[in-house]
Amino acid sequence: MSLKIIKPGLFDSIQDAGRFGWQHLGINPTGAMDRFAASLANALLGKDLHAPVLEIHFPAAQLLFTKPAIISITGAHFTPELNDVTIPMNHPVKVHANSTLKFTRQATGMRSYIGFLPGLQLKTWLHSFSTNTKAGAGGYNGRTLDAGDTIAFLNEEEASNFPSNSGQLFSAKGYDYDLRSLRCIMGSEWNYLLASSGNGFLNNSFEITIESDRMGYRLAGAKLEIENSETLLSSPVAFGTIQLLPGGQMIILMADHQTTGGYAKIAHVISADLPLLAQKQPGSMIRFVLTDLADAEKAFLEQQQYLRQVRAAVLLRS
Amino acid sequence: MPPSFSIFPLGDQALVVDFGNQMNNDLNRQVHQLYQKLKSKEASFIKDLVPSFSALGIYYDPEIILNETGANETCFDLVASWVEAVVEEEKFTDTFHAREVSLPVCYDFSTAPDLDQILKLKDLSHEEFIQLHTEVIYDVYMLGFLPGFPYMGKVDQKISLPRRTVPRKEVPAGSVGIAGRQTGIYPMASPGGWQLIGRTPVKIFDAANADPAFFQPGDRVRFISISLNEFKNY
Repeated sequence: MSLKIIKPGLFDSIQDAGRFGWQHLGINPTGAMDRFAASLANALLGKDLHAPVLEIHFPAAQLLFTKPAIISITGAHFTPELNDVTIPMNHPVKVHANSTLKFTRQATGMRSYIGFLPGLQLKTWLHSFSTNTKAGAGGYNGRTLDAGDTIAFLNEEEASNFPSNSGQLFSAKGYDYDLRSLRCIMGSEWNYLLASSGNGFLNNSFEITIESDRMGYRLAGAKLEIENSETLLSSPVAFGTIQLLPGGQMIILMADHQTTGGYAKIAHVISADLPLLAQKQPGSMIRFVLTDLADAEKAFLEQQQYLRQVRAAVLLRS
Repeated sequence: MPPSFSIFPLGDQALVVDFGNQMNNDLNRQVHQLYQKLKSKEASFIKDLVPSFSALGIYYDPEIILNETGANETCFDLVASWVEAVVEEEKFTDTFHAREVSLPVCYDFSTAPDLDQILKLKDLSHEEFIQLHTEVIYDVYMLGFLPGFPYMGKVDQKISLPRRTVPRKEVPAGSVGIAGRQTGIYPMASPGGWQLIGRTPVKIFDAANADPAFFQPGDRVRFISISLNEFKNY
């Protein structure tokens, strides 16, 4: 035993960059909601960016380490404390055997990620560690974590290769979660929107309602209308797809979205801005702005490059 | 004849090849043909190929594309050109490699909570209904909604039914349903709104299996009626 859940939090799950290659069987990709934070947690430990991490919400889990490790915590700031001492975010932290990790206050954000060195002893399902609760597979026994669950660490040598002086550990500035408009590209049914609704989409704030979870965020705000009332057949959708529901309100599909959907796809939040959305709490107001594909791809690739640089810097020092 | 289609971005890491918003077995076969042809290319940058009724979703990895090409074009343009080139070079013929599968279904009233009502509504005997549902060979248009859930058609007009106005909170695994001209099977217990007309004893989704889903997109399916006794002892 190496890691033990003393007290579970809200929907603690093992996630990685998602399970792709199986959507043709209706198997939804799942994966971390904030992929940047999940990758950063791994980069700070010099690990593969897509290694499995623990995704937690607030009130958060309380964890016991029965063996030494190095961890990194990214994403939402839940005021982490190791043996009652506050520890920094976006920074590798050494953990001695028999230490307790808890989270005392939700300072910012919605989801926090914990990376582990040595890694967690888990099995992949269809080549991914992500938890798919619908299929009841992947992650830790295909479910969220419960009190008493234990996960062993992999080879312990990895952690001992890390610098002993924590001053040498590399910290990163992390993702900029400051308030800004979410950049979108037009969806295949954008042109179905009445002109006034296209403007309505861009000129209003929308509330993320309480009916929001890992599958999707339901929004409330100005009612949007489409002029084409043709029934759409179910077709493929993606993380970030903004669908217009029959009542004129929107839903943004998130990490646990189904593989296909039959509502008008009016826009898509770009990949680079999904972490910002993933960290929004119910009740938050969001705004949209249009961008183009070239910018969307560039923004995503720049983020990936940054993550690779962090990882390379960590590996250089260790 | 090469199919006609349009290509739309589906966010910045996927695109959709759209054959037209029509429920049509021929159109759906074109989707499956393109799916099989693209799959056979084993392109490194493809993460997922997802056929639906009249569209194919293609999910790609922009980092791999950039590393391989370093081009100034967008990844979307590069993948769209790749799809068009495959369509150009390949022959789209009537020959389509579909698997043929058969599945036992028990139509006993105890496994089919909506059937009694349907027979009254449609003025059919139990035997007539079973014959109408089992005499068609169905196409698996796509899988979706739940892991392993097959959308199949076309159901005979005489037993076509709208969805229930109030969905059930829990439909048992293996339940066979009808919605419009489609028939489908719940692979796992789930909320659901299809009219339930029978149940299969076969596991439609098994995460422990290397091939977790019983159905593949494009399969041709025949239902075999079994008795309640056979269902229970399967």
